[in-house]
Amino acid sequence: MDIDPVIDDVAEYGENNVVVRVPYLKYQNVLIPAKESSDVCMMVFRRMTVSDGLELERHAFLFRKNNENIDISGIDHTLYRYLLLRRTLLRIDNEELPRRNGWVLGERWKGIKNMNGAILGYALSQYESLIFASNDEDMLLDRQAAILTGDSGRVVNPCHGISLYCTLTSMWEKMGISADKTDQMRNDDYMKIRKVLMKESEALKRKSKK
Amino acid sequence: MQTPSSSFQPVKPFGQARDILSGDIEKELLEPGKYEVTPEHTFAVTLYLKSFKGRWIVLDNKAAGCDVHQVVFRMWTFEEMIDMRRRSTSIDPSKRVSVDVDMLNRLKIQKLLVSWTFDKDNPRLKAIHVNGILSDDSWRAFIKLSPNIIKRIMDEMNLVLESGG
Repeated sequence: MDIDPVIDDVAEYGENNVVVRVPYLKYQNVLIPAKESSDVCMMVFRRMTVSDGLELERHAFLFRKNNENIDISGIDHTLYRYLLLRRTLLRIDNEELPRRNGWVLGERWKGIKNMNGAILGYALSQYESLIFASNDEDMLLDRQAAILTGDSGRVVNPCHGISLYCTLTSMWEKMGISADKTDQMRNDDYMKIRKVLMKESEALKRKSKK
Repeated sequence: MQTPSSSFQPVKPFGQARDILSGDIEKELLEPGKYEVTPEHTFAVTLYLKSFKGRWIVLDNKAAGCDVHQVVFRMWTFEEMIDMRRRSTSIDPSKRVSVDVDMLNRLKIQKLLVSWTFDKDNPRLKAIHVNGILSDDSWRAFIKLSPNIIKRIMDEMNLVLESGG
């Protein structure tokens, strides 16, 4: 099954980590990423958390004086990517990277900064594609959220984001259970509550039609 | 009474400092890591040029009577890649981010071009570096090349440097 390699990685490295493999080949004197190769560089990243995101945004926020009248502020996305790597990269091949307070230690980081830009850039792009929603997913969520909050309020075939939103919002409203608490909840309890919430939602819809 | 030589005891902190120092030197002497970039990590862009009606045409393959030139680049490090991209990225008051591709290509040429063979017949075109960056004179010599030659050099260079996407 196609899913097996994914589960193998989760079993080996944990569900909070993401494994990225970069096949590479030697072109003249340099290593470049390739579609397929017997040589593979394996990197393990930590799945980014909300607190990581806030920390990265804090450091990558830029404030620039454009001219005398206009100030520009925003996130420096290139710097954000640079910091993202230092924050989330855990392992290169079999080497565990030394870290303190969530960041790769300075001495080892010097060596990583000196690594092949093409290979590391490719790994970072792969990692980003795994942890951030794609453009298509983003557009679908945008469209369905507009329908959900619109007059009809009924979304056919909701995407994962809508489903998550509805379930967690209902749980929060009913019992004050937040996402981090549901993580630790027993799954059978969670399924029971979810079923009740779904039934309740259906009943509310029936009432509103009358 | 003790003689100065017998009373001499090595001071411990000095010994520790020496150990740390020798450890640092050992680390410095270690070979670079598997994926680290060194000055030897270079690639060459080969150009096959043929004169036709007073202008230069860039051929895909070697042909009879064509001039063969090479431009050698070194691979960029992750830090250089980030630095060059930051320098060529701007943000406008409406928070729209734009990358100045021409600026990025110029930075790549100035920082990563190691040598070329255009100086073979004309020493004035020698690629001279100052503090690791192509001198202004050499840059001016580069931009005086025929636009189609410059385009081919940049395309081939980017094919390797940007192969990571």
